[in-house]
Amino acid sequence: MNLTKTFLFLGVVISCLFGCDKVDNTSYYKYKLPILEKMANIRLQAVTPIAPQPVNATGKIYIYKDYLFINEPTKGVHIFNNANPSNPIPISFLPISGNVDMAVKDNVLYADNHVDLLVYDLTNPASPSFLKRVEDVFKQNYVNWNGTSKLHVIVGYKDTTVAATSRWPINYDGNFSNGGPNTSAGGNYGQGGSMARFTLANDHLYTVDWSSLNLFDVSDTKNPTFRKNILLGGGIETIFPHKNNLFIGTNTGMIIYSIEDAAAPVKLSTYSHVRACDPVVVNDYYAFVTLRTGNLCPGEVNVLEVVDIKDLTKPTRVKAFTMENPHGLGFADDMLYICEGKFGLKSFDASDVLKIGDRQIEHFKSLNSTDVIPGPKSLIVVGEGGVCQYDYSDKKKIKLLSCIAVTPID
Amino acid sequence: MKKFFSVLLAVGMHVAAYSQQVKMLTHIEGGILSYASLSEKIGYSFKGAGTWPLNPTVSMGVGLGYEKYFLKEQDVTSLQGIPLFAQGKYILTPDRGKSLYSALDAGYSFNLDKTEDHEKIKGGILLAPQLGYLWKLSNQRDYFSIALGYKYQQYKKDISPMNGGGYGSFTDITYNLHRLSLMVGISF
Repeated sequence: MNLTKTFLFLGVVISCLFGCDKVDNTSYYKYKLPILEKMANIRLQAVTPIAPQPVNATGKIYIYKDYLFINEPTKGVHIFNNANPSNPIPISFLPISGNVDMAVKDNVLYADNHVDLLVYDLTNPASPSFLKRVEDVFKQNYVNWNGTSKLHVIVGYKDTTVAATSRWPINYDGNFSNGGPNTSAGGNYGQGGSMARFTLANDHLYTVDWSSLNLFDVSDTKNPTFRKNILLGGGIETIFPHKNNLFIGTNTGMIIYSIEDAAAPVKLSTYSHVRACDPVVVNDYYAFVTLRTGNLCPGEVNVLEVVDIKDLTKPTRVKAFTMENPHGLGFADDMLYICEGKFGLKSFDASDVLKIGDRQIEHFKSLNSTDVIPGPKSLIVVGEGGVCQYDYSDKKKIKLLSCIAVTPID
Repeated sequence: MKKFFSVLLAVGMHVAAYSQQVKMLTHIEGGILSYASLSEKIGYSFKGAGTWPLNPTVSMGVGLGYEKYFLKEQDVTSLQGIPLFAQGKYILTPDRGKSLYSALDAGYSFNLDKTEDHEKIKGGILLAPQLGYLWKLSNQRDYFSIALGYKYQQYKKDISPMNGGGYGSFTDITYNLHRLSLMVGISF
């Protein structure tokens, strides 16, 4: 019995010694640390076209006449002859550091180069000729990092892990706003997508940055002139023109500007929604706004909102439909094409805007998609895997024509 | 080395021969998992194990169970898991109707709690020595048992940024749970 007591005693003692929890907590931060370069050095780099290069990543897409432009975020612009969407042929590459946006008017390509705007003559798209550099028009891209002078721009990022005690002042995540392409209205303009930050209308190039709208007079196509910067507030994401209006998507809503006087946009209204990323496309009566969360997109909502814009001064939400993770979208011939990111591409019959969500026509689940252009010859869809084109003459059953695959860098 | 393998072979043959003579014993037990202070919220444990005697005093086996722990942490107040373990048992006086025994469970517990994408709770290793007392039934094979033990269970939680972008603030938390266990069981 003494043995029994000894066993029990030892058991209780051991248990009491360890009868509490120990929680080990290790925190750390993963950052993409910016790599800086003086803009003066960037300006010394060649920006003239070179032979076609493999597409290592996709950003925005743009179409002009029979040509397809694919932005490789921060690297440049791939140009394809897209006369036959079943067989797009690469014809040249414009190496433009820091490039994320582009737009084309009357055979002239405008592309951003960090803080500068570059102008190319596209008369021969296989060999665009560099025309002009408009300096310091996107000054918000200058950075003042750890005491460096404001002459530097970010040319890349490197992964960095730091202990929790060493906080970096800014949470850079390396996102270059590489959404979709630019949208333009009118005959000699090209066409982009819903996630554009450049657009052309009424002889003006309109660009948005995080907080403002920039105006360039491009009536002299080859000699664009910076006109003004209009402060809009933070969270500006996309710009979409329709007739004489600009629809600017922000992460808290949509701002509508009249460009009847193209050089002096007039704010008509602001449509507010919950915080989320929100590309927008419109027709004459409705704006279609997708709200999503994830990455830099705040909030907890993934929906398609239909906004009545018959009275542009009083945009009113008429319906919202639950989506999975909607990114860019395109509207054509009463059909709405919505890129659901990793959830694929969906097409909807939008003839009755109150029933769009109930009228899904097709769902391409395996097609990672971020933006779409319903072009004159094909439906062009861009995603992480590349750029695919579809014949969408049959609205009920779109047909794959071709894909330009991304060749990731090892 | 040759001598070692010879001994190992002999032991193995002995065990195999003995195992053929005796059947597997199923042991089912349930009980509480408590902090040393019984005033704290008490978790519980249910488990079953199949053991094979290696000789009259030592048996080995494997087991599976269900356990729930309550914690005093702010972020996690309870954890539940399925422990998968190997068990070794030593019976002090197997030839008597009552005997002290000791047991050791070692294994891994799989977490059962629902987790968010950015807050993943994973299981972890477990270690549970026990000291107990058993009463054999009339057939001199089956028995009831009661055991007091110490239980160490590890769970891990990985917190990643909500944006899912792979960058931002990460935290790895390891919960090292130390509990007093009081279990009653039956072997048959």
